Amino acid sequence: MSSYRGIFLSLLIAFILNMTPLRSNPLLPDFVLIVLVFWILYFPETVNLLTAFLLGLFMDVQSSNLLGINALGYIIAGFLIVFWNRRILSASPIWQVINVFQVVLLVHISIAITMWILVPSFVFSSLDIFLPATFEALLWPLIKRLLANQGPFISRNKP
Amino acid sequence: MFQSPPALFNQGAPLLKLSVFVSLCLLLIIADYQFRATEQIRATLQIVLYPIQIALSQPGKLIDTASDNLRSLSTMKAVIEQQTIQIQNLSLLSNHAEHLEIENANLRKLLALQQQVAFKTLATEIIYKPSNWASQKIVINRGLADGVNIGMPVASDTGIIGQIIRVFQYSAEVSLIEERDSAIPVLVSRNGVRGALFGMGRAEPLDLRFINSIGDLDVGDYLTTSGIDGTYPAGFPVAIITKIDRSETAGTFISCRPVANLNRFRHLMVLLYQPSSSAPNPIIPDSVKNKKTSKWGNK
Repeated sequence: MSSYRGIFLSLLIAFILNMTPLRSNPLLPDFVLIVLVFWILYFPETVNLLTAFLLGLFMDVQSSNLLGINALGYIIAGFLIVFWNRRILSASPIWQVINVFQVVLLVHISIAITMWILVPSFVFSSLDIFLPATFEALLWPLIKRLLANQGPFISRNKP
Repeated sequence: MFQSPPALFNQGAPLLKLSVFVSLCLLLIIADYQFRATEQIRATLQIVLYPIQIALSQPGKLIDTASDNLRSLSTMKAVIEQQTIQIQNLSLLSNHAEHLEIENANLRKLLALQQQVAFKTLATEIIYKPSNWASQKIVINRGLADGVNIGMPVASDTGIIGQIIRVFQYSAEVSLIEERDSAIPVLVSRNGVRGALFGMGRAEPLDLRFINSIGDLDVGDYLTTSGIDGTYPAGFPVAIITKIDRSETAGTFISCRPVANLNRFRHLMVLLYQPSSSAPNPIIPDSVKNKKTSKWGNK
């Protein structure tokens, strides 16, 4: 029960971090994405693709984006995490960062490609894709430590 | 004896789920982009988000009020005095403007021109700027409940800053004039040359296009809304020409800078301007119609 509360609380905090005006800079990381990746990796029964989809929709409304574009990105992230579950869990910390980097990079690329196909006026540079992905991957050890080990969000059910 | 299947299949990579959700997303995206059909879903989700947005805008307000409280009495007095003088000047001007307006209306009546629409303004506050780098928008704290509608212009005290593009019950999204591909019809206030001003993205200079006589333009010219689109009322300052780049081959690029500071102030005005579109549809003469049908019919 406490883990549900922890999951909800951490996602809410990540969402609030995403709502701050700082995030209108394209180069800053998507906190929801990285927290979501963590929960899908360790609690795939509780946090699943539906959670990712709903969170993405809320993020779209919040950022007044096309409805569904963030949801698409989060779903791709969730799928990749489930698909590479074993590989990521058994990797050493550094390889884990690299794996997470791959996942979030694919998410940003798929979002950018979808936008580019649909919206004629959309322009982006490779930095807009690479830098947030890098920051998110670098955040991973911190997020993991905060949420898993002795963090405030879970008292029991340690992964 | 059967071995248990490999872990991957045991857990089941949710390919089916993925394809269902991805197609749902694509459906939503296309419905949103092509048909604008998802406003209901958006409004529902916005109801959930609204309390968080309001709660998050509180700290900024608190800091504002705190800094107001910390101001000394003497500076406040000076500010009040200055503002009293300013109000006196403005009220004098506005009395004069009222007189001119009445005169103008009478003259228009005499000349049988279309009457200009009178409109009210609505003071509003920015709640937040969406964290979306691909488009330049802000969200204000007025919505359908206050009579705000799609298409209404939004201005700061110095000039037009954008246009309402989406309304919720208690909030509305404003697309700034620097938004990529937003267009606003303007005229050069010095000589009345008409054109259209296009946004080029965040912090980029605006682009003035569709100008017939480029020779008449000069750096520093004021651009005001021309009012011919029926969206923006005429005569509001929009931008200043900052650079005219004449090249032999690629044509002329005219860069402009918005008069209003798009990213500075917290308080804005919504111009509740909705001209009635009572103009009758053009009647196509029969001769033209017949010509067309006969042309296609003779094929």
